[in-house]
Amino acid sequence: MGLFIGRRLIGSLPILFGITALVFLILHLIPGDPAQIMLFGTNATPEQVVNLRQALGLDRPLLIQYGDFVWRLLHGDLGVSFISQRRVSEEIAIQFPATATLALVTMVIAAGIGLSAGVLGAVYRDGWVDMLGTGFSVLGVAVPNFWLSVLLILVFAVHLGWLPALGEGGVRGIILPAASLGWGFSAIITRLCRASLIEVLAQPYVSTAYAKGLRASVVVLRHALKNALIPVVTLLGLQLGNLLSGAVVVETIFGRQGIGSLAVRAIQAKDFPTIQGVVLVVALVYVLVNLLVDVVYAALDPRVHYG
Amino acid sequence: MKTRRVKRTLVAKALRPGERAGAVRLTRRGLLAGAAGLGSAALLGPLVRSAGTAPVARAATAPQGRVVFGMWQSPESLDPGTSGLISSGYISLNVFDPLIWHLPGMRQGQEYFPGLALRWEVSADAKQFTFHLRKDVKFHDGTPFTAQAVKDTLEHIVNPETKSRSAITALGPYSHTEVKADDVVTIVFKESNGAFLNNVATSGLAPISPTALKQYGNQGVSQHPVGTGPFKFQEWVPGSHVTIVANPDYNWAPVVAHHQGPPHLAEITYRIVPDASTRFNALKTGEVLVAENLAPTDVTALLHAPNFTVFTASVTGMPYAIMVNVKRPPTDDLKVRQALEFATNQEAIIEALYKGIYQPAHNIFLPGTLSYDPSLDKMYQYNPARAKSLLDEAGWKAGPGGTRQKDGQPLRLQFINIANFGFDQISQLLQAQWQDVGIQTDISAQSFPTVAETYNKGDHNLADFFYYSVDPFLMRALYACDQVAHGFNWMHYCDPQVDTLVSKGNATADPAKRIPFFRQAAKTAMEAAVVIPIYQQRAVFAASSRVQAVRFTVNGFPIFYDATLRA
Amino acid sequence: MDAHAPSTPRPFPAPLAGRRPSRLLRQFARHRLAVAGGVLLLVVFVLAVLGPVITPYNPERVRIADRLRPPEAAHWLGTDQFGRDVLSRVIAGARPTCVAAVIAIGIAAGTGVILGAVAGYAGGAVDGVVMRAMDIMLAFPGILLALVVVTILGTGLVNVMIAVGVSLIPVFTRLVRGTMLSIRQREYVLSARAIGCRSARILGRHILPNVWAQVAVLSTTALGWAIIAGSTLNFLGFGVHPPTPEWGADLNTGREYLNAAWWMSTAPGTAIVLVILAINFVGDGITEALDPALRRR
Repeated sequence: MGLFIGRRLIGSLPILFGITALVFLILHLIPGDPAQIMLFGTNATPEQVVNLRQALGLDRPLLIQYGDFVWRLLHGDLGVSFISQRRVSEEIAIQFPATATLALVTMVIAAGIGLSAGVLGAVYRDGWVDMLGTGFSVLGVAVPNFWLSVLLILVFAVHLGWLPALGEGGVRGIILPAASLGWGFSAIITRLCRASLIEVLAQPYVSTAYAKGLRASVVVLRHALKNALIPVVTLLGLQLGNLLSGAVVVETIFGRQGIGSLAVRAIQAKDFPTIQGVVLVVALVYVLVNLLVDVVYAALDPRVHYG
Repeated sequence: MKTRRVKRTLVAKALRPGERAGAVRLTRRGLLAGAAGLGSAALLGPLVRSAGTAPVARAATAPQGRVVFGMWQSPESLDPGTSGLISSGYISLNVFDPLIWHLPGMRQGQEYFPGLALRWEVSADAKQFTFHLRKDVKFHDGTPFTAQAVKDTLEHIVNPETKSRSAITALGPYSHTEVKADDVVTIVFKESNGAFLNNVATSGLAPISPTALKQYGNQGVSQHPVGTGPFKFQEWVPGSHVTIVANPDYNWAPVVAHHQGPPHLAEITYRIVPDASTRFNALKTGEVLVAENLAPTDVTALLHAPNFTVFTASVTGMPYAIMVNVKRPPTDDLKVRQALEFATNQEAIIEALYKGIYQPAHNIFLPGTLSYDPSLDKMYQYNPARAKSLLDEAGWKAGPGGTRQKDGQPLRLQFINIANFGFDQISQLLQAQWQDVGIQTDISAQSFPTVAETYNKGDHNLADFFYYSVDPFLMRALYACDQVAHGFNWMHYCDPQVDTLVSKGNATADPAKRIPFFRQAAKTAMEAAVVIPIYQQRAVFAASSRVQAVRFTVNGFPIFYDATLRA
Repeated sequence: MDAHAPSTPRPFPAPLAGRRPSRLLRQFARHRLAVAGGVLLLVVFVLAVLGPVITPYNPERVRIADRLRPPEAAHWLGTDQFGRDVLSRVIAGARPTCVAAVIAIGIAAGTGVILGAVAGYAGGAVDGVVMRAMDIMLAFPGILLALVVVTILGTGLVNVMIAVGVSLIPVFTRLVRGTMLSIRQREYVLSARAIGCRSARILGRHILPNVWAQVAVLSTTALGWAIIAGSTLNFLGFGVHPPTPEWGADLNTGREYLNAAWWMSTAPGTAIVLVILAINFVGDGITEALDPALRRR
């Protein structure tokens, strides 16, 4: 197992490098001069703009800029934000926990809804329970996130007053944003879980278990579910990218701090260092989480063989 | 008591002109003005009692109450000398004190009132300004306030390392500062700077603690603002909120305030809520007690709600307007520009979007601004027939699909909006109005600050305009020839005569002498049809009725010094 | 099973070749919701084609006097802030919304199939490179990728959809590659090889139909994602140019008027929800029709 993890980690390095190259390239393809933007409104003379470009190193050949960027990266230096003049690593460190917490709670809610609907759907196949469950979770995907969030605020915060409209302040504040995001993710979990479970339930060893006299719930929950969880777990890891997309919207609507809104502000302001920093951090998390998922996968299904 | 609903309040100080560099207060949606029910929208008339009466004794009880203010944009810096954003301005206003206060209309015959400076003199050529300062003022970190602090602050602003976005423009052609004594300071300019008195009355040029400047450096003070104001900075959680708390030692409030001593409120939290509907909902749930920039329909709903107050304050400067690019065809033709002016129906736009809230604008200055000339309003009143004949004269004949054409080219304009600023609705209405006279408009959007570069390049025929200021000298920033390549002159308009007039207008500090120059400059600019005024903006805030006695500056920023929170 | 495949739906176990279309259709018809969905999609397709012709009013006609009217006889779904008829805008909005989504999926599926097929069939180093590239794209948050593309290309519905399409390429690539790899190992393919069938025939009769089937299923879900992604980008301020009616854009505009005129956002929003639900159910129907294990009894 250790060897496996080690090998995967090393295998991830090219991906991380590829991402840095990709993001670096894209940013420099975007029309617009960051130095000009930073100095906008400051009455700077053209000479000052040129000076700033030089100071930021933007006038050097791309390859050298990239090399410098990677070198500093290896020392943990993500640069300084063009807008706020703070260190990018600091800014991300401040904003990251909020998004991470949101992501976690979202996945918990998504899994909760998805697994329940999936299990019920598989067991009571084709009945109205099945339709209800599938319908409910699919609704989460069909409703655009920003609208759903506003509706949730209207119902639960304004009319019922149960939960706050602003998504901060601990437990109560995170429920609505996470529910809005989580509902959307639950759909695919439901579908996968249900399909997997149906297939598993048709297997011979399940009938054997029934024949042995085990109760239905035990059969389903202990034996079948464990195998059905495999694709679900892998999926959660891969959805991380989508999670950030959803987080961008939800953080804006609920007024939460987080990487999503940080990224959007940075893109609009052409704040290269921050954009690069965010993308890298997200990619790193993505790689780590998927590694974790593969490990869990191997643990859940001993039949899987990693060549 | 109708007047309780829409409170007008004390205008405490003019704001720095360059202030709007990144500013968007201009609205995300339209600020609203509950002029409905107000009748006489007196411009700067405060409800506050008038001159002469001495302010009340010091606050009787200890500061109490916490107000949460919902604002839409995250500040990028809390240093008034650096920042260009309104969000930052809201906060600085309560953490820093200006040298003087600009309150036209407050008292007969007096426009400026003492702040940290007790009295001041201006040289005849408006190049030297001497201030005699109070001796009993301390910064939040205990440093005594002296003339040296003023000098250090101004040097900080002009220092290129600071990258000041707005204060540096407000300061003007700065030469140096002379510390004559601990309580006497003279600021010297390279050229006449008649606008300076208006600008020094803003938080942009407010003194910063020299100790803080030394300790944190030019960049560091962005995160550690130390001023002399009624509130002091406590914390800034980026992306979330900024908290300021009452300054217990505060004892140098301006005479125009309602009380002396520490503020009534214990704490103010400026909460960042980017989404307008959430700001409104948070106001309804009580999570936010004051909210800015709400959608017009939402504000209208609150006008008649029992537990809410809508505060409005008129501002001076320029109205919200569309800038027309004079260098790019087809708007390089004066007749086409004039046709646009006549084809614009400001009243209909107000009726559709801002009914009862804003007034339509027909002038490049707002009423109440020095040198505002009401006769210019008549220059371009809605007259589609006139617009059509102008286009005919310019050679644009009726063409297919209702769009005119000339030499086989359709009459098409590129209208580039600033994304997410709330101007897109106006542009849609204009698009429809202009189509009626045969002009086709393509609307697209780019976000700020990227769009600023586009505007500077001149790829547009029409641009959003969001820069404004209190002093007519703002024409320097918007209409000057040297502001085309890198500044705010998005009309690419250059008329040396206008530039000269504007400089002359700034050569003296005497308002009476400045007026004729600015009037002439304004008339010339309007005749060139480079700007299409749309509405007179006002500052509009909605608040829980528990919040009382909020005052506003000439630019409509809220001051919480006298404010209280009812239980 | 290699580490990349688990995320994809399992390929259909029995050979698809030889199944008659009529049988598939009958299987599909057993799924009631799928049929309902199919009908709705047909209606939407008709609207998209006929749209501008059948609207009661010109969807772009501004009439201030009629602004913000609730649903009434003259305007079944009310009017918006400019007095434009909401029903007309919803009908007319079908076309841009659908065309955009189809473009996005076209780009994603088209590129994905090619890349995935190449990777799956060639194997080895080519496979490695392609999959690494896909991993890189997947690690790049979709919305940021779309935002960056839009910043480069400019706003506008087409550009937005290109951005969305590009961000969906990796999903399709993985699916196709995974399917190809899986099928190659299946018994019926191995036996076909054993009895001497040529590669091309195996490809044509066994692998490709399976691939199309999987792609079809994924496309239905992905269409939903594309529509949502488009409206999210609208929310962020990059989107269709006014005054074009488009569901996502109108939904976003209507949000501002939620308290004063709930019909402005409810109409396009409901349209989006119904269409995506329909797409999903149709996708479910196709999956069940093709996969005997999931077939309804």
